[in-house]
Amino acid sequence: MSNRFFRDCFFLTCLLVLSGSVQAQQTTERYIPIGKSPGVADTDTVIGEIIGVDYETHSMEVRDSVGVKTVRMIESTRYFLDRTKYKRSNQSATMQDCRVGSKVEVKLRSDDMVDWVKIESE
Amino acid sequence: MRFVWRLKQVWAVLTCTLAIAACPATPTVPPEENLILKGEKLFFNETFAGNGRTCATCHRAEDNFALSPRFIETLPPDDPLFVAEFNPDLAENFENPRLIRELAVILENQDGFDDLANDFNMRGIPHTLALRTSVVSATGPQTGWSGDGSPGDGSIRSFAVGAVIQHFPKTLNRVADVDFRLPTDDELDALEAFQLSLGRQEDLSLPLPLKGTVAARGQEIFIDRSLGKCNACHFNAGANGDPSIFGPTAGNLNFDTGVEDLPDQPADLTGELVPPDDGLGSPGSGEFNTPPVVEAADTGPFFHNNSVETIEGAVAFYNGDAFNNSPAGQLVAGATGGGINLDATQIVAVAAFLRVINALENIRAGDELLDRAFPVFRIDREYQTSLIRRAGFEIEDSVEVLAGAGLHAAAVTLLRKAHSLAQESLEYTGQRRRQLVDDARVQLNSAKIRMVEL
Repeated sequence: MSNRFFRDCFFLTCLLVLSGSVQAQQTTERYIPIGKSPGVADTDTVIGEIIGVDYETHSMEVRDSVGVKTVRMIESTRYFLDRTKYKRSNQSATMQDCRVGSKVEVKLRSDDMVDWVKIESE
Repeated sequence: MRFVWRLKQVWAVLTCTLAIAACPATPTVPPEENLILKGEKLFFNETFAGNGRTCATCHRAEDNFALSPRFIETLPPDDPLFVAEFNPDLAENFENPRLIRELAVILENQDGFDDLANDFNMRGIPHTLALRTSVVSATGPQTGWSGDGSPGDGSIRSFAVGAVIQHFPKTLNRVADVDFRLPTDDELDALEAFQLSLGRQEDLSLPLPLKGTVAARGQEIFIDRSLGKCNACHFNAGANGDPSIFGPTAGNLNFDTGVEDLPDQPADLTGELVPPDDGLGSPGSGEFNTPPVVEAADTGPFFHNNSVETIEGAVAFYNGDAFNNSPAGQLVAGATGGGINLDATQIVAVAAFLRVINALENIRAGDELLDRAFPVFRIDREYQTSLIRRAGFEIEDSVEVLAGAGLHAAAVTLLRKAHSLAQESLEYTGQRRRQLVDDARVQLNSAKIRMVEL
């Protein structure tokens, strides 16, 4: 097996390592209520109230018990409406559903970009 | 007189107290074992207030914590596996009953829940053995078929949360505390401990001093970097990349090996709707993670979509166009000057090697379970029985895996004897049971000696 194979494989591995966050399953995340996501709630997430949204720059200000944090959404960010409190099925959402005054949970990646946003809704 | 009587009373109490203190105390169950026991009970019995399924509905102890069509055939019609057949709320878009029964593939909404009728994958049920050796990678935990099976932090601990949401709901609304309840942190800890306790706790170290001629040749081909090339991705027949190629911390890796491009896949042949499975992520990369192959021979059908029934077929897959034209196949071909090209005898030899190491693992696991049935601490008889039963499944598998390819006939005879002794022990208690289990373990060891130099 040539050195090229070693080099290619090592390059591939480096790419995998550098490609960002852990490979979590984001689709079932939709049905997990705010604050209940295993292993990330309260550690890698911010739970609080939206106090500002900028739809053009894809950023949002969230106030939690510690203070105000500005978070930045990216193309792969997923949005979910959390309606569990009202015994209704959770839904996919968009950034347009992030409104000032809403309770949200924001999951941040290791590079501080947003993985997903859960917005409490009726 | 009264004083003497009183003195006798005090003497009696003192004697009893000293006698009790002198008795050897029954050792208490170690905390980690308690957590595993708790996890085991949850795994087998807990429905999480859902549709009746448990983790063990799909990960059957009798079927190597996986599920095959042959085993499904033995289940009663009201088994929770078939819940879509008798619960009207789950009749549509929850499972495909025909594909469950014929191919043991279950429905996963890996890419989302917005178009349930058209956007889903049909995947086999991976075993949960040797997870301790196969989950770690440089990119984080690798769970499920494509490495992204767990929500939350993506860990094996979090896996049960996603599984409950996908497979346990009473209705497709999937509302927490209505259609199911989510596992608590304590339950997740226990389930993780139990799952990590299953199967091998460490990888093999190849080459093994195998006694069988064909299997030994198969091992050479498996390791050979210019012939089988298997060891590059299934290092030491496990689930991790060869550290000398992929780096010391690579661990478990994802590859697009082209399984989805196989022609005449059984699920497609049924005419049922089976959308292409794009693997890791959404939209997917086409990649799936590498399973350990020590456990392969008795956990077919193979690959994420159960597309190949036999271990020989699974080895032959790497000979075909689907693999050799895939990104992973091209990487191998570019590096070595050609794809994988084994002749029929070589395919059978590699498969024989995989059968033998699988049988050896079954023997190890069976022996360990029989040993655990008689620990230094007290366990209840029911649990002891379940351990012996599980040992029986392992031994039975070792017989099937070897006999299925005419390998190690003498060992097979001994394994059959071991199985018979373990089964007989279930009819007894106490010392007789212990004796029969010890005899079974002797037979297991004798079988092992016939397969590998110790």
